[in-house]
Amino acid sequence: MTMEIPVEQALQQLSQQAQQAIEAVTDLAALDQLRVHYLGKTGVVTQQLKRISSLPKEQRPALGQMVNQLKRCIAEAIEQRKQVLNQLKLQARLASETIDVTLPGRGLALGHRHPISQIRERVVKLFSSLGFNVKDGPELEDDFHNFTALNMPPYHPARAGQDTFYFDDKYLLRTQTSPVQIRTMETESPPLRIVTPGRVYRRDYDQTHTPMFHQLEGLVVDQLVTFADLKGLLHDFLNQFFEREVVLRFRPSYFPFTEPSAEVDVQFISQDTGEKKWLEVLGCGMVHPNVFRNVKIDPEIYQGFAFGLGLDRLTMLYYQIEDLRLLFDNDYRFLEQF
Amino acid sequence: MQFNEQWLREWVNPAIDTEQLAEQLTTLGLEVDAYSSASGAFTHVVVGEVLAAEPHPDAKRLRCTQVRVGSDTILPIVCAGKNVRVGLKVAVATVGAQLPSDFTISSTTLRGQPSEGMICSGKELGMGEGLDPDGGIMELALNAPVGMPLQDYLRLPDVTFDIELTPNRGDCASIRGIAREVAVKNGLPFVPIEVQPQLSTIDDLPTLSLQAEAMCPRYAARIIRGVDLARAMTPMWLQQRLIYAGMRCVNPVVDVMNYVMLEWGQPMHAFDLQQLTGTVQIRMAAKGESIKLLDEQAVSLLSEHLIIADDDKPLALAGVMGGLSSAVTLATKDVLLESAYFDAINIRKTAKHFSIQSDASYRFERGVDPTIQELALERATELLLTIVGGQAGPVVCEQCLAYMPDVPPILLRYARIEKILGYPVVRERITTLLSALGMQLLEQGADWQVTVPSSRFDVTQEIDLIEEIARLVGYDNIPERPARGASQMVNLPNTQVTLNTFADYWVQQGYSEIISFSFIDKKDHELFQLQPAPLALLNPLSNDLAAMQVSLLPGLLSTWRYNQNRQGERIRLFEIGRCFIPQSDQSVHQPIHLGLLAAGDYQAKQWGASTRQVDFFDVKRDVEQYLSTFLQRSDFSWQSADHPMLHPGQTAALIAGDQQIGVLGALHPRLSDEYGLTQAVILAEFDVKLLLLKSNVSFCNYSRFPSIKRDMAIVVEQSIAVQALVDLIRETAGDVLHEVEILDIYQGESIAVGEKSVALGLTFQALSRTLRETEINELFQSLVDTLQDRFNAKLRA
Repeated sequence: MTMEIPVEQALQQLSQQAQQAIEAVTDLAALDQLRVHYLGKTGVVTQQLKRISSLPKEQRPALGQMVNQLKRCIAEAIEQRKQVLNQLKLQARLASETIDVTLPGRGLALGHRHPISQIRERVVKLFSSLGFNVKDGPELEDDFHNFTALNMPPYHPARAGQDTFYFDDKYLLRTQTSPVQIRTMETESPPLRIVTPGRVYRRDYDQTHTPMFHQLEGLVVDQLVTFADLKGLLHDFLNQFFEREVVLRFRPSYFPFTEPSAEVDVQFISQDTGEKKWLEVLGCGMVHPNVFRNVKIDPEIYQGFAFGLGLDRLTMLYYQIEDLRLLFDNDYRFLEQF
Repeated sequence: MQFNEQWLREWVNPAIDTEQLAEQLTTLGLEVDAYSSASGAFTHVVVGEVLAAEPHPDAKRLRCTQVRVGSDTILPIVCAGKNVRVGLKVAVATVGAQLPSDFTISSTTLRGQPSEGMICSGKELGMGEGLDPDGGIMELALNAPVGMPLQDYLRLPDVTFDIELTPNRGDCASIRGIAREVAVKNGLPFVPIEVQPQLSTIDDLPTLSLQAEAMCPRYAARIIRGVDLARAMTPMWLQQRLIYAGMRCVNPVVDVMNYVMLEWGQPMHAFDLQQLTGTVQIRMAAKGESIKLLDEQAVSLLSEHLIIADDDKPLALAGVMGGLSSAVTLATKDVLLESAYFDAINIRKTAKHFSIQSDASYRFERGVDPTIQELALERATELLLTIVGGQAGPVVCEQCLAYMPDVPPILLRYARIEKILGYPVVRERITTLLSALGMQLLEQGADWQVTVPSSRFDVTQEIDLIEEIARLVGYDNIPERPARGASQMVNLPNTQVTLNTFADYWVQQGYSEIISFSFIDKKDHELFQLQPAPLALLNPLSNDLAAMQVSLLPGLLSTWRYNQNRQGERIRLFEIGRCFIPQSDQSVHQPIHLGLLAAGDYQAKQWGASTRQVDFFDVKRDVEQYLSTFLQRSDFSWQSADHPMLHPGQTAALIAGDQQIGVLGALHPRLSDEYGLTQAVILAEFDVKLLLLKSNVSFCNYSRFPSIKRDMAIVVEQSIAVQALVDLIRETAGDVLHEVEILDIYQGESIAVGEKSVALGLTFQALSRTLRETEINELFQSLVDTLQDRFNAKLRA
């Protein structure tokens, strides 16, 4: 029985060695080498198994069991260690790949649309939703379309209110987009629903005037469109534009091409003082019969209304811009805010 | 039109406060620009009489006065007013008085002299400087009762109104017109002040010769002799009203003329009779005549100018401004008063010609009641005789009824009112409102024949009457009808890219939209050598806004320079705007252009990415990507081109069909040097018309058969355009060539000087079959041969 003790001790020693070696290993390749070293075809444990056959027959089952037990233990330890090492490897990778997610994204920046264009598109969209088509016309106009056809014959006092840039006796820079209404009525038959956004020019340059500015006018011609319709349409428009229920004031006014004519004020309430203030946003009225006669539309059959607004003023109001001239300086620090 | 509230309330006095009155005027269409207190707030200021005014012993500019402010109260006051003198009636702030801007008067000594109060100027009392002669103290009328509180004497407080009159309401350039409106609005009777005809006490008649009857259908005049201007003074209340109306006080005769104009809307004029010779003629000027006007400006007259003249000389530019030589002065003894009705258009032409806007021309241009000339003359006489004395002769009136305005009754159809307003106004309301305006209504079935009073010369058609009804009913009382859509949808042509989509595309490529004035400085136009010469304005605002742009590029460039001066680095700008291009046949083409500018870095400096200067091909990509996404890329081509603002070796024209629709290129070095620029600037400009026209897309089947790729590297002369090589390859290969990619352009080592290597990637694919290798090998060889034949291209080993 001299053999018994050395074998068991050897196996126990082996087990301890293996456990220590596996614990000590830090990478998967070395772990695999350990696996081969212990469990491979010529590995240490396999050698022990081979030794069993040289033992007396009655000892073999017990020893075989012990060696197999050892083999399972080592395999299990290797597997556990492998999982640990895989976990460590993943953690190391994640750590090495970690970025500063607070850094800004990269690439080309988008540009900005001019605020006047944004307001114009907003107004156009609202009116298109009620069937208004957009019309364009020349900015260099003739006197007839800019004035006379609009019931402003030569020497009409209202001409004085629109200081005009002239090229000669006949041609000028349009002072309003209304000539587009005339041109549309000359070429198309009622019913008409149009809006005419565009650049207009007046000979005036100070804190509140620029020689070029932007208007949008609208025109509706049909058999029965009334002042009550005009009021309803503009109220709806201003509600939608400002996205609130606005309080309006229709004030009698005068435009040669409409009668009755009105200016429309919107009530604004100061957030600081609670003070109520009326701000003029629109001019409007029923198309004057003389205008219809000038474009050969019978005012006894057709009637209609027109309205006009200053896009620059509306832009200033909408974005709380105090100085009109900022709109035309095109300073990048201004443009990039919209 | 400016006026004070008390004057209006003398004519009509509704039971509403000032704020309500202002609100009411605005809702009547007489927009109140502003209303404010006619004076500052003050207390303990009384009328005083200067009994003594001695020079101050120790101060040159001061005087020591004794001022009586009550039956037995005499105050020593040190005063700096230049005009202070014995006998003057003045406004005295007594000790304890509160003056505007929280100033309290106390008993004091000024350079050793006692001072128990202050003699005030109108300015110090918050009344403006109109009542202070030449910056001195205010001079009250000599009959002002000593000791009376100044508020009572000057009838304070009062409020001044400033109304923005629309051009059609000439009738409201008078207290009379405004009072009528307020009366109607408040349902009060309108009773004009009574004017008593002044009996003539002398027989002197002016001799009138009305020659230009069409331009002056009525001319009334009267002589007043023996006026005393040296001693008479315009009463305080009248001076105050003129000043509240924004006018100047001149002398009692002129002041009365202005007062009657403000009250009745009839401009008037007074001549110094002694300066007149012979007959007063109302005639057109003869060419070559001239006159020195009241404002001391000498003007040359033309035959279209209406004048008042005597036998020797022009006396006045009729209805616009009087002449200096016949002006009423303090020495004037006898006057000729004029009250006329002039043709509005003629007055407007004349005023415009001489760039004069006087209070008279303002009213004549807008219209004047054609029936009140004699009445105004009577009213002026009544005031004058009380103020300056004298004796009036009979009124003479020359007129030509044929040229007087004649407004026949207007048919007002009841049904038409509701048809226009969309709101039924009851019949009784209509007759009440229009009658209150002085209209006479004659029923005619359901309708009326309406006769309009002469003061409402703006009402000539049925629609004018409908407006009056709407205005007096109140726009706010006409109910709104909910907005309705059209019975037809909007047009939505799919062959048109909208300008909005187009603009958004450029924003997405990083360009920011600018809006610049459509004008150009002629000097810039010359510097840029742009063609054709720009269209010049007749009346520009300034030299830099004197002509119309033919290109958007100057505006973009100056915007960029503006921003660059402010440390802008990477800039991408675009503008969509009209250009004005004079044509050889004198017409002006007005196309809408797109202008692009890219300058500085290709992309903004940022971490983890290197950058470089933007170049030609960056901007070309932006344009090409638009063409291939929105339009058919193959409809367009590029050609080398010239443009005065662009680098001759780096400029391309964009061609659609046979039309050049724009250019793209680098800023000309000549201009970069001129501006001292070091950064790259790429510019482009296109007529947008063809860039917005697209053809409808119809789907084309694509090949499901395998493709074969072959790369080709050839060496050609440097000057040969790669596009030409690609075109030739496409043309030669036909349908089986699916795609040509330009892989590399190389010059340098192993390539001879003057030559370049071009590497192309060719993809072959047929729609309906699998291509054979041999077939492609043969095709490839034939491509190489053709390239060699045509361009002397050598296949690179």
